Amino acid sequence: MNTPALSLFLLHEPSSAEMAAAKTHQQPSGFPSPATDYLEERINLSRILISNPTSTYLARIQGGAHEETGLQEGDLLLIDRSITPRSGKLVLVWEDQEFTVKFLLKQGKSYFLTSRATPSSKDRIPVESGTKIWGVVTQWIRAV
Amino acid sequence: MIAHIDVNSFYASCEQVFRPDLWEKPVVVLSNNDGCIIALNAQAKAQGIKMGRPMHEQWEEVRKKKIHVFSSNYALYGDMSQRVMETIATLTPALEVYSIDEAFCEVPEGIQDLDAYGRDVHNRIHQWTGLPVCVGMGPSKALAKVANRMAKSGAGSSPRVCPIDSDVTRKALLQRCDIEDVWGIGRKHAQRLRQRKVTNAWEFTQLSDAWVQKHLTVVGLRLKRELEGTPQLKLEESPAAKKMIGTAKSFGHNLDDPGLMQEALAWYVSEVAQKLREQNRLACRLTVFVETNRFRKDRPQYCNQISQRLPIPTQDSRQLVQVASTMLDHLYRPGFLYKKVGVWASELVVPSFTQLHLFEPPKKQQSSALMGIMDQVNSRYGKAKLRVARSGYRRAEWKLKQEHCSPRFTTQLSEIMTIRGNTVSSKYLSHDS
Repeated sequence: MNTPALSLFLLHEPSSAEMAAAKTHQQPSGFPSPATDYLEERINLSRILISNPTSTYLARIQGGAHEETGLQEGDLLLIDRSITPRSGKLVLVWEDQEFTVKFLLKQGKSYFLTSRATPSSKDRIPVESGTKIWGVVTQWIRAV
Repeated sequence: MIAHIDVNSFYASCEQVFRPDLWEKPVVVLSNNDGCIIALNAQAKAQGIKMGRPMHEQWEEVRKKKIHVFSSNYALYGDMSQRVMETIATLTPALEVYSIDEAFCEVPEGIQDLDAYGRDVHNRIHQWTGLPVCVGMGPSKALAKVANRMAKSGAGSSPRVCPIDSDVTRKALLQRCDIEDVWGIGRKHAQRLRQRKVTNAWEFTQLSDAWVQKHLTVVGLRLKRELEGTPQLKLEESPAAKKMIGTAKSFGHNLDDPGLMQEALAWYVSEVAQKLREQNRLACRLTVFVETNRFRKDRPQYCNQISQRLPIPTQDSRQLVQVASTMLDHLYRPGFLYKKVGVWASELVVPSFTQLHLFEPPKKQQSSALMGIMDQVNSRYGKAKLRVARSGYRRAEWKLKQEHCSPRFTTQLSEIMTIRGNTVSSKYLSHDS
């Protein structure tokens, strides 16, 4: 195996942000930057969106069955299983052989699932012992 | 106090997490190349399915019994294992990852109610990962292991939890533990102990130290102490560095084309090289082997290996592929149908700064920069997107058969769970609105 073949592949690869970052890491030869003592880490979105990476899973909405909830095809959901489902939370539920997303609401002593966050919503499904709530949706990401 | 935690039917359970339709259903997982069953859950066991038997002997049975079959999906199992270990780490000051689905950990000081602690561990792992575990606890690792076995058999204080917190429970549980099931007692020793009428772990602890040391060496004596409740084995928190890194996989079909074998080998060598870089090691020695299919009694058989010391220790995919390729040229004999090619790197050393500069300064630095970029591109765009040209583009012709592989739900964005919403409620919704 010789080097040229590989360099050829590299030429076709667009110069990535990592490569640019690697270049700027080199020591500047001029006056030291006055910002050195104030350097802060760049904002890290995944740390903001995911408070518990160990228990967070991703899922994507496919098809238009979630319009009532406000979700659209292609939306990306972050689901944190470490959060205990409570009234008002959006949850991922297994229902009739499919995953679906519903609001969990409480009325009196009983819980039900509904596609709208209002308790007056008519499409209520009571939560029973067999209801399979998979996790709590914590973020909902949509490309625009 | 030490806890031993392991995931029940780990591979099969991982397959079920993202598929609620398979909860409580029989599930089996196949070996690389879909050759035989390597994991099965309780429901599959209850149907009479056995581990290790070749798949071609039991496909019909598996289909008839409606057992759900999966190829092994190590990307998924590896990540789920990581999640389990991270979850345990939130509940303990010290953790030893013992295997992909097993860990020892220290019970935090001041815990009074061991049963409640065990339930916490079980519940948190189940909530965070969806995986079922058993938790055994005891004053030593060996006792924690025994306790775990008892937790599995339902002899614990709670379902799936079993602490050994007194001499009374220790005796009772050791008496229920067959000598064959004691951690560290091999089949031969178990036979010898049976001849001496030692049938369970308790009877083993009643033997004299002298006899145990004579027949089971100092290792056996250490085990006896552990079972008596005096810890002898420490938690190994930092895993020992790997002594060798290798890979060998069967081809999807037996091959006789040396070109295809070269491509497969280059692919495997690149995987090994990448692992070397991840673990920050240089290889001083490379070994390549080939093997024909020994089950094809009608075909001539050949297997052979070559090992070579590398002129300069390296972790560069290109250099390793080049050396391995020459080795395969020497190994290859026409007229055989090959089943497998494999490679491993050994005599691993930590790169030292002086070494880099003493031998060939500029080239070495280029090499690690190039490899670094290659790894970055691949971690971002997918495995082997950027690779040594010799690994070719005909992978479909040699890669192992994995016809029943589940999505890599947690490591590939294109394979995450999809939510379609069920048709029943969407019909309902249209009436509602």
